[in-house]
Amino acid sequence: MPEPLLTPAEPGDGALIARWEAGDERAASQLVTRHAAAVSRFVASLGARQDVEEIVQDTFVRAFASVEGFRAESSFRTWLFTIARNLVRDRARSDRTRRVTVPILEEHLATEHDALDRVVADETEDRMRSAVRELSPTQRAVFMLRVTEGLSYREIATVVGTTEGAARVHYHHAMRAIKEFLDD
Amino acid sequence: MTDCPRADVRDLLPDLLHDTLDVSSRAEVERHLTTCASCTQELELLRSLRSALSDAPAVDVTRIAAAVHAARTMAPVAGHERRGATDWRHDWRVAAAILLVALGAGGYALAHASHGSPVTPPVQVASRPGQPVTAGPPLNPGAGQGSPAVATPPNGAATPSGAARPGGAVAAPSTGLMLGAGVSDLPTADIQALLDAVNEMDAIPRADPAPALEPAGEDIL
Repeated sequence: MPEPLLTPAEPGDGALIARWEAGDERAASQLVTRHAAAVSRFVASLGARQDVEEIVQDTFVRAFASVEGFRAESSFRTWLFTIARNLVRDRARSDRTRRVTVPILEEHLATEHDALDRVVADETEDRMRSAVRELSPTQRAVFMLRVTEGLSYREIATVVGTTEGAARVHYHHAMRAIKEFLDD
Repeated sequence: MTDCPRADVRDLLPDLLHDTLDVSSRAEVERHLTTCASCTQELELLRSLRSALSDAPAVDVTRIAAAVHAARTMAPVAGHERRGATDWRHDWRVAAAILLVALGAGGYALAHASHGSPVTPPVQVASRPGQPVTAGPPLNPGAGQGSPAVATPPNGAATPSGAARPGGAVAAPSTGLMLGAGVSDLPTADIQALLDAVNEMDAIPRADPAPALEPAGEDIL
């Protein structure tokens, strides 16, 4: 999915949120268009499979429903990631509680990541995806947020619910594990 | 290849990749890269990983935006429901006010009765909003007192809950309260005090606080 680039002429997230609160519905559409791909990618990286779009939609609906609680201490995208992560976690807990679906376990994450497995056109890229899939869930979340989304360690700590220092350690452990996987 | 010992520079490589470094940091990292093969290789690996992992599952942006808009249009409905609840509460308050006034009047009448004063005809007070109210004193509709013996419902019809008797007395329905005095027996100051007390109930919060986001903490999966 092509990710829209923010040009200097476009309003920032804060301005769009203000316009949304003032009743401009197009502002919400712009924000969804701007961030949907990143949220979708992050949700997929957390292990969600068939229900990625549902989680992404729920993320935006919840974000806009409580947008007055957004204090702009972090970026809007970071806030979306935090909501998305909570939704994925709640869904995983619910699945485990109901025992209706197959529990999401590390083994499954390592072998059934449909979102990343869709098209394997290049063997090198496939090996890179495999290397990331081998990471622990937290390492993978931290690594994806750092490398594909460009978040700072402070932002990552907010999303993942850890400290800045721990996020840094997770990143370096992930980098080390990926290098070792690719060197094998 | 062993990792470069400059962890501070390696920390910044993703930021260089996303072009989010300030000028001085960027210059420092780029200077380091000219002499460090390990970091140069790691930057290339990060660039390849970013490309390999950039594929996002397709989502229907239009549908998501529509869901956001739909949720917003539902919000005023919810607000209306809240207002409805408030209206109900307001009606309840009116009924409570009437009940309080009637109880006060009853007490007043009893106090008078204990001093040998004649007891006024009974007053019926509706136990809930919307139920007809019959009022008491002296209450002879034909005597030109101006105060109706039987309150009429909104449609103007005489109340079916109690049949007027020749002497002006009213048959009490089973749900009504029979009290010994009329509202008009209360001093104006007492009535005002009761109404003021009811009005203070507006301080009750009208909405529950919005649920806070569940704090993140443990591993997701």
